[in-house]
Amino acid sequence: MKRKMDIFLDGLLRQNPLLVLLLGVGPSLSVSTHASDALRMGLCVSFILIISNIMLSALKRIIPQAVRIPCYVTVIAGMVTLQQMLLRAYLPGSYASVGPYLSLTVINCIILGRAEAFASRNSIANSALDGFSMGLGYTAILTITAMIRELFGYGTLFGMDVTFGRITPMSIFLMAPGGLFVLGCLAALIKKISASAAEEGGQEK
Amino acid sequence: MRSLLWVIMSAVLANNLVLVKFQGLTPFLGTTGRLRSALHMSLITWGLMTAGTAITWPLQHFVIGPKGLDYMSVVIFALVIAALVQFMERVIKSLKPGILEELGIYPVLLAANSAVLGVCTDSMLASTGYGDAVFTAFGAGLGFFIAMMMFAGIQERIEDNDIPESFRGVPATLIAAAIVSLSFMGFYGIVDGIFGM
Repeated sequence: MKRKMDIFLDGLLRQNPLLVLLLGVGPSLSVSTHASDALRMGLCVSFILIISNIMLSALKRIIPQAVRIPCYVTVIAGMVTLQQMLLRAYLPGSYASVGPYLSLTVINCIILGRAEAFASRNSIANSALDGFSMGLGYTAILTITAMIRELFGYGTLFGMDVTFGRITPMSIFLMAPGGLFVLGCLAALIKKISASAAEEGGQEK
Repeated sequence: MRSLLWVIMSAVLANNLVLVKFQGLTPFLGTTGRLRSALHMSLITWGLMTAGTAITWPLQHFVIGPKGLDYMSVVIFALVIAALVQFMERVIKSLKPGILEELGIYPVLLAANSAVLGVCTDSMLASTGYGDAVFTAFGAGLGFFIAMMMFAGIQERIEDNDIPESFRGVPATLIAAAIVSLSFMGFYGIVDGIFGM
């Protein structure tokens, strides 16, 4: 049980894919200027992450070590294509806003990185949990980043006007350097939180 | 065929993959902590971009284009690159196994690197012939190499400074990348202005 809790906390905070492992930063920068797009994108990536982690963990004895990378990419690409078709059929509105980025999920480092570093060495249940917690950590940070960028860049939050024209939008936040800056500050915040949590844990012992 | 100087200057300054187009940030942020690993990583990526374009160009022009498989091109290119990465991993393992241990998971992640895929598609669009496409990819790889080396140098300088505890490591790297990319925006248009034809 303790191990399960560790996997969950690793994905959410201590090994957060965006802020600690620095995986998939590039696509996140381009999608995180609108909070609602970021949320949708995060959910789509999480879905792929869970399914591909489960499948690759189940196939880990069958896939030969020498050709594992093309095998991973094939499985991930298949899942992404399936997701695109489902989304286009049942949620066309979401597809219109995140569709262009979705096909690039195939080459999102988080999914391949977790397949290589976790799913290929762990049990199916643990891999599913890892996919879930990593996805949750990714979605949370992506949405928070997008909220900060949207607030300062457009003066809106989830598309609603919250500043009533009182502040002048700063377009630097909408550009990639602004995104990197917001991510850097969030990374420092997460580091501070996990450091103080570890300190408290140490005192209790 | 555009001049050599134009291709190189535009890849290094105005269209720099990492700092202007924000592709391939994972190895850029992850392996530039040490100059040695940055050197190995960027050489691997450079070779991969050139080889990838050399293979995907005929694939695009003789298979994907004529058969109308454009909707599959990302998947097909990703597979070709993944196979190349696997091949490269085996070659390095037999020649210099130390490099793989030093770089950890990053060489494998090149299979999911948007810079490598981006170079393959971009040089396809921007070029007229096979030689031109491979050469453009080579130039883009050089731009990646120079950005990696430069940022590795900056990171070594950052380590000498006294920065607040929470900002050490990853946060400082991200903010430094933000400032460097901001300064690269100043090069916008400069290459066409000076070397353009």
